[in-house]
Amino acid sequence: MTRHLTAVLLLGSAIAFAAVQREGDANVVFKGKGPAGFRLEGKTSQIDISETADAFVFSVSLETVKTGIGLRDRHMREKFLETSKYPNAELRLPKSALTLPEAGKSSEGTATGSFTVHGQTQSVQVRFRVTNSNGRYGGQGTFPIDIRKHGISIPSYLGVTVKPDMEVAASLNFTRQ
Amino acid sequence: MWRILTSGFVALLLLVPQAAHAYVWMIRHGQTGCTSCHADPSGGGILTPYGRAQSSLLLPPRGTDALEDSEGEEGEEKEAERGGFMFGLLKLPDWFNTGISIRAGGLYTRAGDLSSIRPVQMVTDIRAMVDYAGFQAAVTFGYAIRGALQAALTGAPGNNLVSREHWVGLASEDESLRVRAGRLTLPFGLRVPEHTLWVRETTRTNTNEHQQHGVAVSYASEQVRSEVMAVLGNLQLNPAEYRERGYAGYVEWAPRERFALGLSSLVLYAHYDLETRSSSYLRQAHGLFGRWSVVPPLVFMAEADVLLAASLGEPLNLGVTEMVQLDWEILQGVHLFVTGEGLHRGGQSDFGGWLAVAYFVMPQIELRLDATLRSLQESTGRTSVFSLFAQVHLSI
Repeated sequence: MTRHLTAVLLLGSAIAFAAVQREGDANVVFKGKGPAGFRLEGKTSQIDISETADAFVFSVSLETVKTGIGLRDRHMREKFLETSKYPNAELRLPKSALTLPEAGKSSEGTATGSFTVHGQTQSVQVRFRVTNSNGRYGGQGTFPIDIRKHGISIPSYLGVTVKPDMEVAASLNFTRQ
Repeated sequence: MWRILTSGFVALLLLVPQAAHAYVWMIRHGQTGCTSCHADPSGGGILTPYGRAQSSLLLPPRGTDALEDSEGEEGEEKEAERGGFMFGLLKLPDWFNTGISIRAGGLYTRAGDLSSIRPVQMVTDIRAMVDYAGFQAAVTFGYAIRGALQAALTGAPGNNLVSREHWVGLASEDESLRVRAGRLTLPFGLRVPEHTLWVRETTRTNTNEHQQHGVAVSYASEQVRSEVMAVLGNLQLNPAEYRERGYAGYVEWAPRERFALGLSSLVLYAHYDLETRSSSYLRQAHGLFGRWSVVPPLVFMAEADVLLAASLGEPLNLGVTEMVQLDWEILQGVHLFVTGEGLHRGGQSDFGGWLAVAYFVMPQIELRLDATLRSLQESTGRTSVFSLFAQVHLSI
């Protein structure tokens, strides 16, 4: 009995450890807007992909997100995202909603996933496109978020206030054994 | 001989670059719009408090400003204050902003066998702005030893009190839509600092003195910004027959955060045009302009305009003017500008080259050196006009 249970646990662990592996360049952009056309983009290339039994998990290190101005980055990390408490943002997409295409083909659509940032999780609608080039997948996805729903205060500085509606866009390449 | 003297005189008057607060090369930082940093939605003029803070961060060399070093709540308060009026020593209420702009230097000019060196005072202005609950008002008031005659309040050949801008306006709640009335910089083309460029001089749309009275409506979104102005004439110009009436406007599309393309157009009529000494004078300018930050240190800017003008019953004068400028920010705070321009009309073509270095010692202090060479086509051949201009701009 004990041996059987151990085998099941080991097998389960093997399945949980990701067979998916990121390759090459990646890019994540958090796009914000302000008054009268003001734009704000926070970018990072630090995104990891893994998978569980039923979902693909994309994890972004928020400490590495840059907006182009160091002071603004610090404000963002310390005051609004509180990255010391919540260092990562995570998107979970159920495997049932994300079909990986066969070699030489692509798939696209909209999937309902869950996005966690600042310690709070919300359901999101992710528009995605995945290509398969000889077993190397290229994925792009975008989804809107409302930062207020994640408990993030509205950023405002010297009369310029960022709107709570933002867009997250990501692209990366990966392989899957 | 007379033509050489004339060319030299023109050079003395016109080859005096002025860098106002409109830095279109800020597109390198992903900001295609101007409204967040400037009271004027099309750029230039007095900065907003946010604009002052951005100046502290983005203009001077890194490590020279404590904004980057401050931490915590106390540090943040210091950050905002240092960008404020008088280096933050005088705290202003949120709804009021003011500043002083002083620009002066020395100019060397050579045209043919003529050369001259003289001091130049370009701008000595105080600027103020009120912004409260969507209501906005702005004014500039200053003194000009020579030049800026179209902005003069006192109407003397020199030593005038001047007011380049004065207006009131209303902004929508999200600030995307604004209506302003008063003396405004004409919305047209690239609002570059170098007011003597032909694209600014021939279209009469520079920030030095070409402001006119009228009503303007502006709109700004993430990808589009635009302003259209009904021009009622320069009310500081008398008699009324000298004043132009018509419209000026532009629309700019920015599909990417570091690329923007725009169209400009103006049509203006005067009963008597002082510059050309022509009656019933209708002039037009229509053109394209663009800005592109290839990589953050490099920004390309270009503008080309078709010029059309005629007095009633006279043949149409057709011309074209263009400019291309490269701004290379070698290090933050140090800029190298390379500019080429052309002016083609009446079967003649003039060309100009411009090399400038600007150093932002602090957000409030800019040092700049400009070298320009213009080749002007005369009936007897070409005349070269060279100028070297060293200037300091204090903006507090």
